[in-house]
Amino acid sequence: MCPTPTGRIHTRTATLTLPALLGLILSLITGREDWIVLIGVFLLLGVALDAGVYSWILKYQPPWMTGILALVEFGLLYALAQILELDLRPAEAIIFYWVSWTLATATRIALLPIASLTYLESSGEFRRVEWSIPPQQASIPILADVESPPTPGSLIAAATVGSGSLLEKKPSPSAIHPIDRSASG
Amino acid sequence: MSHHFNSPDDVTIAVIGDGFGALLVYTTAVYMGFDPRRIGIFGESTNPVGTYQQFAWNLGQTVLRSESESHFLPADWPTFAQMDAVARRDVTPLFRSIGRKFNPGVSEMLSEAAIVWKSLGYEHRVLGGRKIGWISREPGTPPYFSLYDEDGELVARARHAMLAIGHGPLAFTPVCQAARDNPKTADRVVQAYEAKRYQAGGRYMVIGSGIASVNEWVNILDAGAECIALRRNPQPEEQDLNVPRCLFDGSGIDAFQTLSFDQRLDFLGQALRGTSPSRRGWGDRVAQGRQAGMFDELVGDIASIDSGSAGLSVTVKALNGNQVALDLTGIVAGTGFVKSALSLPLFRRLVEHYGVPLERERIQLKTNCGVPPLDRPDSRLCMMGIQANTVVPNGDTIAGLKYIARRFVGDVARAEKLRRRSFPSRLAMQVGLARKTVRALRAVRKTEQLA
Ligand SMILES: Cc1cc2nc3c(=O)[nH]c(=O)nc-3n(C[C@H](O)[C@H](O)[C@H](O)COP(=O)(O)OP(=O)(O)OC[C@H]3O[C@@H](n4cnc5c(N)ncnc54)[C@H](O)[C@@H]3O)c2cc1C
Repeated sequence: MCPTPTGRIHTRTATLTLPALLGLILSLITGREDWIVLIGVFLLLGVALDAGVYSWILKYQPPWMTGILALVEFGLLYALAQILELDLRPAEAIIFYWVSWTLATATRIALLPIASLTYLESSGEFRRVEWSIPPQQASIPILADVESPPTPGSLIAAATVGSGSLLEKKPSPSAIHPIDRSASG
Repeated sequence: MSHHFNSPDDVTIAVIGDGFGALLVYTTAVYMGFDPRRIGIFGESTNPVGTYQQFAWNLGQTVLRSESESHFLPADWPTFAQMDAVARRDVTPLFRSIGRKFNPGVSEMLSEAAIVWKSLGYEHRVLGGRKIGWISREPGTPPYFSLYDEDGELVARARHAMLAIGHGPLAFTPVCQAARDNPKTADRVVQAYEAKRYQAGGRYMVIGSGIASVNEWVNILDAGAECIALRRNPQPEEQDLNVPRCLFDGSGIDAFQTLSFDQRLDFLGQALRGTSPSRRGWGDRVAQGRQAGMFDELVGDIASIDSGSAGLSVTVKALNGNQVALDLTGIVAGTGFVKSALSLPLFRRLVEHYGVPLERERIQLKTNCGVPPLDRPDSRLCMMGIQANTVVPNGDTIAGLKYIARRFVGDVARAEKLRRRSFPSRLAMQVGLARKTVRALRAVRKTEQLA
């Protein structure tokens, strides 16, 4: 994939939904809010890396890079957790990180393409199923609208005049423009 | 549908054409929530892979050019490598896919296509069993199109239509065309996409260095014959799937669309020129052939083709200006298809009758693949496939066809105020199709990977 900066941020945010839910549940059960805080820090760190680093050095991101980035982010998050003195034991934080990463990766691979049909082909962005550039912005010759009926004598007129029925036969177009079957491969 | 629409063959979405594009528009529409009865496929065949399969067979293609993401399920997960891995209980496809070295096998992919089209009732929606020869935009409200067959008989009416009629005729250089028109040499000049047979001990020249040509080099060597590869460019680029990688992505397609139509045509001319992929198996085979004196390369152009003692006597004007005369058994042209829209009768008639704008014989589509001046937001007329690669550069690949199908169906869904299928229902449909595919793959012989 060649994710855009926006695509990276959309993806990061969406994929951390399930880990955030898990963190919330753990915080409620254990009464320690640092589970959810860790996910918050992970989100901030991720968005900073997405916007400030990855978008510039990884225009095309090969699939194998995911694992390497996970290790880098693990190291950075671990250091940040130490600096912020989060109330989690190292083993808890490590296990929680990798469970969260697995949930995030599964969400990205399996759920996001179903949630948004064009997610992958829109560089990781959640777009409406729409064309990137509206035709109004494109430079094409200005042509007459075909709202008006076709010119009398045309094929359509020949088929519909006087008939009132759309089942009326039209002259064969191929009789007007014989097909060169020898050239059709 | 309004009271105008009474006949059984009146549909909301018509697809003119019965190939890959038709299948992908159909699956996307059903996935998004359209009742299959509102969709009509107009063409001769109920088998949407028949046209491709014939070309692939003629070419001897065993694995797809595209990677794991390009296949026929409506959404992008699971990928083909994931299904293959589950079906065969083998993680190799996953590792290959991570290293971008996985190309789905043709027989595996066609099995999946069959699962998809049978499960979703595609063949019941192929209406008329005839080619469409003429489309007319009917005036008034509600807006709709009438579709006529080649004899001018009304086949159906449709609110929205997608033109998915595929390629023009096979292309030949003028010298090759002249040789094909000459009864003495006609049967010795063939196209890579035509059926052909190589004789052991023969000597064949293959024109071009794209994937079809490289495939033929290997086919010739495998048959025990000699192969001379002729190309115009001294340095072919190495790139699978016809166009550079990021160009396939939303960002690449967005950037491509900001170019003017002329610039896009020039860009495609550059990007699609003589690209050849790296295939481990093929590379080895060619290297062996070269060592054994069975394979050689020339950079230049054919100046003349005459009948000769071995079959053909061919003069090549090399890049350095030297002329080389060669005795050959035959020539294989890997020169693809005629890209001119005028080579397809239906388009030629639309151009002549409605003044559809052309630039260098390509239809100047709108950036939403709409055909001016017939297309309108409440009654769309779109185009996909090779003719739409001026808007979506990989328009003639499964991924590009999907890109166009999704957006076209999205427009139609908005115009028709469709109540979309819910997330759980989409997930169930996708997982159901994937499971059937996995089961079907178990019965298919594993195709050897070439990359
Ligand atoms: C040998 C070969 C290998 C390829 N390999 C790959 C690959 O590995 N990966 C990939 O992504 N893409 C690949 N492609 C490209 C892929 O086949 C095309 O992208 C795809 O088939 C185009 O779909 P389509 O619907 O536009 O045209 P087609 O599949 O060609 O279907 C068009 C159909 O419309 C019918 N038709 C024509 N005129 C009319 C009419 N007037 N009315 C009704 N029906 C009509 C035709 O008979 C035909 O059956 C390959 C193509 C070839 C030829």
